[in-house]
Amino acid sequence: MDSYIMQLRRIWLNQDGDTLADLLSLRHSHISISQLGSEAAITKAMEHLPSPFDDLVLYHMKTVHAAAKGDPCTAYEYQSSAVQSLTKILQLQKEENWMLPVMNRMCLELRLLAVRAENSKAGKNPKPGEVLEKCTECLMGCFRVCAADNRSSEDDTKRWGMLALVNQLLKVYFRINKLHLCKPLIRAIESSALKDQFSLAQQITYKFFVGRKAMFDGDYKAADEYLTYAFERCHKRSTKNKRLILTYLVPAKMLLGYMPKSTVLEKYELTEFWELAEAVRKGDLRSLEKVMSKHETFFVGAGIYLIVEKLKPIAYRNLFKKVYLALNTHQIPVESLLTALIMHGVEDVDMDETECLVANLIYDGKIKGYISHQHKKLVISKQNPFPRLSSLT
Amino acid sequence: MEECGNGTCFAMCPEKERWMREREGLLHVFEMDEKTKNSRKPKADPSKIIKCFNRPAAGQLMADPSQLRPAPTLLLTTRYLLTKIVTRRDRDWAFIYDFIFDRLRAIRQDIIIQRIGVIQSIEILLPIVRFHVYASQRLCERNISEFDKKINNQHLLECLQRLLVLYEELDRLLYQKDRDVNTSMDMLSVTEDRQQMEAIYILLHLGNITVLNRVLSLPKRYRSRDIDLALKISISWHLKNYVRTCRLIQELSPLLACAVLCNMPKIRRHALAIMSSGYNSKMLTFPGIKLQEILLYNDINNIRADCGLFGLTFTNENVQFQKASFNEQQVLANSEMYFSIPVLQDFLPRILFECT
Repeated sequence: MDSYIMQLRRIWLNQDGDTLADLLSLRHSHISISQLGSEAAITKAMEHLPSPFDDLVLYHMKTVHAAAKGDPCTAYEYQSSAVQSLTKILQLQKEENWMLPVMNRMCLELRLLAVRAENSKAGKNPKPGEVLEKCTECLMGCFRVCAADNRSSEDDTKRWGMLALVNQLLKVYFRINKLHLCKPLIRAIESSALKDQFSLAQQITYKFFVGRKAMFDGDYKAADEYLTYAFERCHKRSTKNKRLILTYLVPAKMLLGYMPKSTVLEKYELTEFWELAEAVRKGDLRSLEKVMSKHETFFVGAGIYLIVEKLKPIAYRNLFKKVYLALNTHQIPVESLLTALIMHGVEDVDMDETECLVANLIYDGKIKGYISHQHKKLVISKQNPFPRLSSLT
Repeated sequence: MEECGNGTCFAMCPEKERWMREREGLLHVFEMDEKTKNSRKPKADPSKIIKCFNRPAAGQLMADPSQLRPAPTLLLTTRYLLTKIVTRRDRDWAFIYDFIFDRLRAIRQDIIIQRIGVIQSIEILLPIVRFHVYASQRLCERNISEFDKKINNQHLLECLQRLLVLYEELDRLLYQKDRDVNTSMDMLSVTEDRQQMEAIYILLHLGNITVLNRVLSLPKRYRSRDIDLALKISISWHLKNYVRTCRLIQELSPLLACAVLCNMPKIRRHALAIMSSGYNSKMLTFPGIKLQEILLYNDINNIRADCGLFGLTFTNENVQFQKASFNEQQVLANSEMYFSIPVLQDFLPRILFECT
């Protein structure tokens, strides 16, 4: 116990950020010290540690104590106070950034505690996301200090801490479905001079979230770019992360007209997408609908249900192309398209809706031609009536 | 938070305000004593005058109990406005709306100042939300000087969001208490109302991804027929399937239809843009009567007006769609009522109180 506090004192004076991060982590061996939360230990810490560092340590000890008792909500509260005292310390430290490793670790663990607190309340608390939302306020406090530090030289600036915080915040915003809050954070990073110099791991995480955000905004090209960056640079052995990236990259690619290979999907156990791709390729709406309801929980959980929904127009296009090839005419009766839709399991569809689906495809450039309502015909261009999807901008 | 000093005003309007408004000649026609109506200084009918909305000003004491009405009085006042006044036929409805809008706003203010409890707040806010939804349809064709859609919509969302938060709080309260038979009976109707409100929220935010994702991830037990239908409509619009969207709208109950119809100018605008590409031709035309059916136009003359707005030619009741002439700058079509006034009048006041 004593040695722990002495060690803290020494490391604080040496300004050794990495070691200090360990000593204030909830996943380090010191947390097994049983008297850590005792009165004696607290008095000791107050005696030997300088202010305002003592506050931080005090809250840390209380966090460890609460966590050991199996009370994640209280542990979260204390960790949140600890991070707030850290914010104050960071603000006082002008022209130095050695505490950043401590900040990164504590903020990460703050978020993890918030998730645990949230889960422990699950079912009892019908207001999900409450703790996580509070957690973002705390993280924002740190972010403001870092982002505002633009007087220090590049070596000493706390702006190096921005991306790690942004990543934590993005994780939470995605989890609580508050995507509109991402925009100012992304802007802050994009306009930063350090943008391309942050650590690779942080950049990968960042690109992953920005890619997902682009996807929700309907910008699949940008999504493809960001997610591809993340996928290609992500470490070969972090299969779990690669799989996660693919969960978004695959549908983005599909929307751009690139269908995935079964080998990749099998390797990452994402065969749901294989079924999906097959149905889209064949224009088989019935099996598309079936795959969607079979894997609804997965798609909804990943937040891509509505993206997958957007594959339907591609399936319509493929189906209509098959009708065109079968009839071999440039004047396709809308009736034939309707028959094809009904044959492939589209429910309650009529001539009007068929024309509407076609009109949308023409509007999006997926079919070249026009509909004649009077003649009930789709008249398609003699040249390249169904352009490759990947050729569309 | 503790409840701060409960109001002691058991009339719809505090006495002090009544005197002041009588003296200053600030009485609304709906508040005057019939006998003195035509005199130079009309008197207030104490059973009709209602506290009006006052913007909180600096230095003004808002929490004077004698100026505040407790929850039962607020509920009574709401009911009076939304049964007796809302159904009047002697005045233009926009005039009636203005009066009710202002007095309801004062009621909401009293709720907030007194921190009225969850259940009572829900009871009062619920018909208020419905009133704003109904008004959005009934007055949609009016000029901005008579009816401001934006302001109505802003107040509607404010009340609706507050209401949905209150329902969440109610859930939490019920978890803490042991449920007895009585509360679970109450809960049944609360759930129905709540599902109607959730459906309205979805329909007001047609095609909104954030709202859709939230609903999709709700446990199945929170789903009802209304919510499922609202979801289907919103997803159809997500894919810009205007034919299906409009077809499904016709299956909605009147109140939910009123909610989704706020989006009609947007739906028609996008549908016409898409059709201008799909039916793009210098020779061919599209029958107006078909367009009327698909996009739920009541009056074919309104198609003419919308075509004019978007730069499309409308001749002999037919539309000529041309991609190049479509005016992309115009983001909304004109507003048109879906229900006729007699039908809408008939909905009152039932539509504001019953969950159908």
